Amino acid sequence: MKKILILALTAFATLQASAQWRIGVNVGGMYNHYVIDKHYFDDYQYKDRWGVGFGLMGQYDILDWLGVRAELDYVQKNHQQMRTLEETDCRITNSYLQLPVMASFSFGGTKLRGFCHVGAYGGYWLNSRIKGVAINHLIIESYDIDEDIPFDSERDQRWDFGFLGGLGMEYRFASHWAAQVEMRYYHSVVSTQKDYMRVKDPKYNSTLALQAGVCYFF
Amino acid sequence: MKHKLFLLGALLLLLTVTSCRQESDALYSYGQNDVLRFQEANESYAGEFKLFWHAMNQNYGLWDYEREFGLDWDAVYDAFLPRFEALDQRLENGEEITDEEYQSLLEDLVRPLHDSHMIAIFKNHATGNDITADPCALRIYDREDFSVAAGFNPDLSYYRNEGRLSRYQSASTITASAIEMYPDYAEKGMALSSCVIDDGVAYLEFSEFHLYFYLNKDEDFFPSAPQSVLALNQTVVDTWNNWFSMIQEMKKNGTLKGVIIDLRGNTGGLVPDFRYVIGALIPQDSSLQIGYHREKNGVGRYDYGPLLPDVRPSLSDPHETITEPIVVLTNCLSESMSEVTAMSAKTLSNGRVVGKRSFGALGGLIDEPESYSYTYAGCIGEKDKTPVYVYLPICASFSMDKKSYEGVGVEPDIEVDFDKDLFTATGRDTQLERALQYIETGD
Repeated sequence: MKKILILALTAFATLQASAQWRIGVNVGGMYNHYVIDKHYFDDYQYKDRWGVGFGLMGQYDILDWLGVRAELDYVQKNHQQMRTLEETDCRITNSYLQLPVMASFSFGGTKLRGFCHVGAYGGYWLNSRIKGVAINHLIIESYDIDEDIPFDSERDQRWDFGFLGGLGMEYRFASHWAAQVEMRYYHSVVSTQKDYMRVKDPKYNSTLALQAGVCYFF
Repeated sequence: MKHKLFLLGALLLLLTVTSCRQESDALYSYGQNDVLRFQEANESYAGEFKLFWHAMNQNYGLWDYEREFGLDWDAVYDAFLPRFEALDQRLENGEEITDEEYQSLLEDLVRPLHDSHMIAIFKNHATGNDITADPCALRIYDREDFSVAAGFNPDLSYYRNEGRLSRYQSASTITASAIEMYPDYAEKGMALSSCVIDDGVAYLEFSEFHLYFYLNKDEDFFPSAPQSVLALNQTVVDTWNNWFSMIQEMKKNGTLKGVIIDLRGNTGGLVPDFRYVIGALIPQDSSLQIGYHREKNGVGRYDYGPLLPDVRPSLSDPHETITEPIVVLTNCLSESMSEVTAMSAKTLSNGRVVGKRSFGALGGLIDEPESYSYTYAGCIGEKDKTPVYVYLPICASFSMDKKSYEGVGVEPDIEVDFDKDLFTATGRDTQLERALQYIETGD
């Protein structure tokens, strides 16, 4: 027992010697795919859309190849709803506050390294806005719309959760500074709508982020 | 090596968890007669109920509104399916299921629904008869002013005898003889009258909003009609022209005191009729937003599109802008376009609604929803073809304050009871007289 304890303490001391904190900022584009079953609404089309994302990151490098990273991000998960048989065309912008936590695996040289992120995230749906053209079919008139979409507490799931994976490159351009580029995928496992009716009709966001960032090593 | 093992393990974990998503249920359109979709309904009462429940869940545009009244549509499924299954069991046992019993069950089912255009028709498998359930009819009979309004038609005889009327003109294409002469009048007919009251109030009263059939110059709604029909149609045109021209003349010579549009008992009708009523009083080449419409944009119960303006155009013919009081008379049997007209009057600074709260049927309808499914709504099934048929609005209507009054009705600005006893005894119309008082005094 005493030997195990000494071994554990030695290992911890070794880890501490190579551990390093870093903080940074990210910004990028979010390409979102809205997963929805149209059922018999045949002429409705849901198109993928770009949005923006930015945030703060903090990472604790346990070893030179393994770290734990957390971020606080503002991200947009947008989509477009249009119809092929008439002129309805609306762009929906959904804003989220997101907290991804991930393991960071890195490999390569001192200056230029590749990395892989695997983790999970939690998020909160801040607001939703619709902009575009819609048709009032009773009076046969089209209208420009640009307004917030009100949340329905029974229908809308404001809390989001999912998993993420990413690949990127890091360039250490100074002793305490590095730049990163990353392609990351967010896979939501929580429908944007609650199970509010006996019929199941879930909707999900699948988001690809292309982001760049800068971090400072302590 | 260690690094690669960790990496591989992490990637495998990621692949595993990315499957954690629910599949959606298979949902179907019930807009047309489809053998597969209606098969179970053709065979059983439970099949009819399940089809109705699912189709309403997908098509009905007022579920958030019904929620405010405490309606839980999922709870309705749990409560009513056993009752319909029980009918199937009884039918299988050879028991009788009368039309009256089935009607009672259907009325229990639809009673909580507030859409006041909706009519549901189910086939009684035991008798082969179609059974109709109308939630609004169930509600309107309970109104305290229903008995007073039922059977009432405006009658100005007392005021004519008092010498208070001039330029009186009337027409009707809904008499029994007219319909016998031309059966299409059963769907296109109307009765109307116009006159001047007290030397300055232009009065128009009509039974339904079918003016478009007669006044529209771009389309012939009476093709190949005999001369006798065309002559009768002209009387409708002349009576409306009488009202329109008296307003123009009195406005120009400064003698117009106000306008009364009497929609008591008016059962509604065509959307384009707006231009011949309120549209003939607002500025030429203008339009008036009277509220909003909202359509479904998905199969989910609460999948709604944005509120879209409900804007109606003015009459394109040259006309004066009326700044004098415009009063719309309503009672509990003022339906649909009558209520839209009342809502329109409320948006005008010089408009007022006098009388009693209207019927509550404000949703937008189209004539042939089976052939016009731009909103994937409007009907369930096909009339006389499918065992379940429901006629529904294609959109929900909201007032300018973005509230729905479906199943409730438009409240008057000045509430006045109709004194039926006084009317029967003397011919005096308390609601009309209150409207005249408002025009005279502003009070």
